[in-house]
Amino acid sequence: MVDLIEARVVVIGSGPAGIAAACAAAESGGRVLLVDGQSEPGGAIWRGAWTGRVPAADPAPVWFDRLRRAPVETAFDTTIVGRVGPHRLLAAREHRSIEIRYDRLILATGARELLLPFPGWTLPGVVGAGALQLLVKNGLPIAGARVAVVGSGPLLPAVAASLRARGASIAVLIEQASWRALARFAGHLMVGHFSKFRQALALKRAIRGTAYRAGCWPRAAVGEDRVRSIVFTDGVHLREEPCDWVACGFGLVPNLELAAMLGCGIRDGRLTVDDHQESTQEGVFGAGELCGVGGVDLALALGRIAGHASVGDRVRAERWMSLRDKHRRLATRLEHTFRLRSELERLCEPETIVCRCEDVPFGSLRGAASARDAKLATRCGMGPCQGRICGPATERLFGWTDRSGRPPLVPIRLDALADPPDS
Amino acid sequence: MVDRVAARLQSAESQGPIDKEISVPEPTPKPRDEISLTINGRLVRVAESTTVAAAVIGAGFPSFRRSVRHERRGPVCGMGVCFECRLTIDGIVVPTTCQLACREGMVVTTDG
Repeated sequence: MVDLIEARVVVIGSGPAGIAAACAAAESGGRVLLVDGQSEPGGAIWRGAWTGRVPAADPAPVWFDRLRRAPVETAFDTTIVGRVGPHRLLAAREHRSIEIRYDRLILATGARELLLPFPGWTLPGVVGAGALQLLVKNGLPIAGARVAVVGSGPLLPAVAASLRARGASIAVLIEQASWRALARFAGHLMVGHFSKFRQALALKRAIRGTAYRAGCWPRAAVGEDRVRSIVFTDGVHLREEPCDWVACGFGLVPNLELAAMLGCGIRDGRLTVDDHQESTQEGVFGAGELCGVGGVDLALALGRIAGHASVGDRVRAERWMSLRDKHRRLATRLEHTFRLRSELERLCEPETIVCRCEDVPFGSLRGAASARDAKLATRCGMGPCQGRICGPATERLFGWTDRSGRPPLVPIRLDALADPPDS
Repeated sequence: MVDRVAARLQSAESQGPIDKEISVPEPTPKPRDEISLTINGRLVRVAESTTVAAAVIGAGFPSFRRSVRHERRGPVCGMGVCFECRLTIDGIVVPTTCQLACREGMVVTTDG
């Protein structure tokens, strides 16, 4: 017996965009179901705040409150694995499969960190920057540990500040963007987005005393059984800093697998949507980082537009468009400021692992013409993560794109598939 | 002006009043129940809602598994994407232990 749930509007993903979309669709009169693979709403950015085990940063409490009061049904611990027909998705919850039927679908599947391979990046202790923050929020003791925060983007100082508040010492913060680019960005914030400027200053204050190296990038993580130090450069000198953790992130990449499976148009690494957030597939909408990385405020605006528009309430949807445009301008600025330098594409040695699941080294990939070619010859991207980690890396290193979106989207237990819905 | 802002940022100092209004969230530990589980034969106690991946690293086992080439590997993405944190729990391989909360009496073994 397969569980069946249905709703007029189904929202996939309960981060800021998904919460805003669900609330907006409900406000416009839709019967809404909010689905997430996690056990609570909030997405990666508000992880742990719903249950109160992590303090909620603004504006999370406001949105959690709205979600609690909105007539929105929820299905947590529920991961989409495939589709069983038009307007019908297959999901898994532990050992069970669930069919989800919808009239309108809003995708708010968020983004993951971009991890670029460099020598030693596979050592235990080298983790995503957001990942270390999540692990700590989920109970990992970090007090007394030395953390090197490495990569690019506004997430790095935020991670450094939060780890420091929990007793970690930040060995070094390595940002690949130049001081000049950062200064220009700060000037822009000061003029056009003063509240953000104040946030940036507060963040700067929270990591006061930390060695902040702009215009630098990693060359190698060093260690035997786990990482012991990070070697980095400004292009001229090499420096080595001892550390217990290397938390690295080079930006975010949208989670496009489900959108690709549904046949939605994707361009420049983001979901193609119209002014009302509808994708190229009629009745399928997108919101949040999926439509281009832009942060919480943009995600909330896009979620509201998608939610209202999904049930045909264009009037309410259009109210949020000028706010959307404002946040999108900031997102474009961010993208420009933290554009990755080409040196990052030349960090790998021939023996540096690129595909972690199948242990495929950089050297064996250089002859391949495409992602498919590399798969056939080396199994690159064919392990359990299905290319989610190495795919964005090889896109950057070799210019390959691979958006097959083939089900099952995630590895699931056979007993969950053993009794699937009628197809 | 750009250079002035750069110097300002680099000096890592800012005005006083600002951090009174905007502050980075401080941890406010809530009293939580403890859970006991066994990790590589050792009895470990963790706070409720700690994930298995966090508990295993916290217990001193940063290496979770051996890769195809027998290299040590530990958690990477923390959000159920990379599958590097897979472990054997009560005899069954769990692919994403960073997404799984510890439960009383669990028996967890690493392969690293």
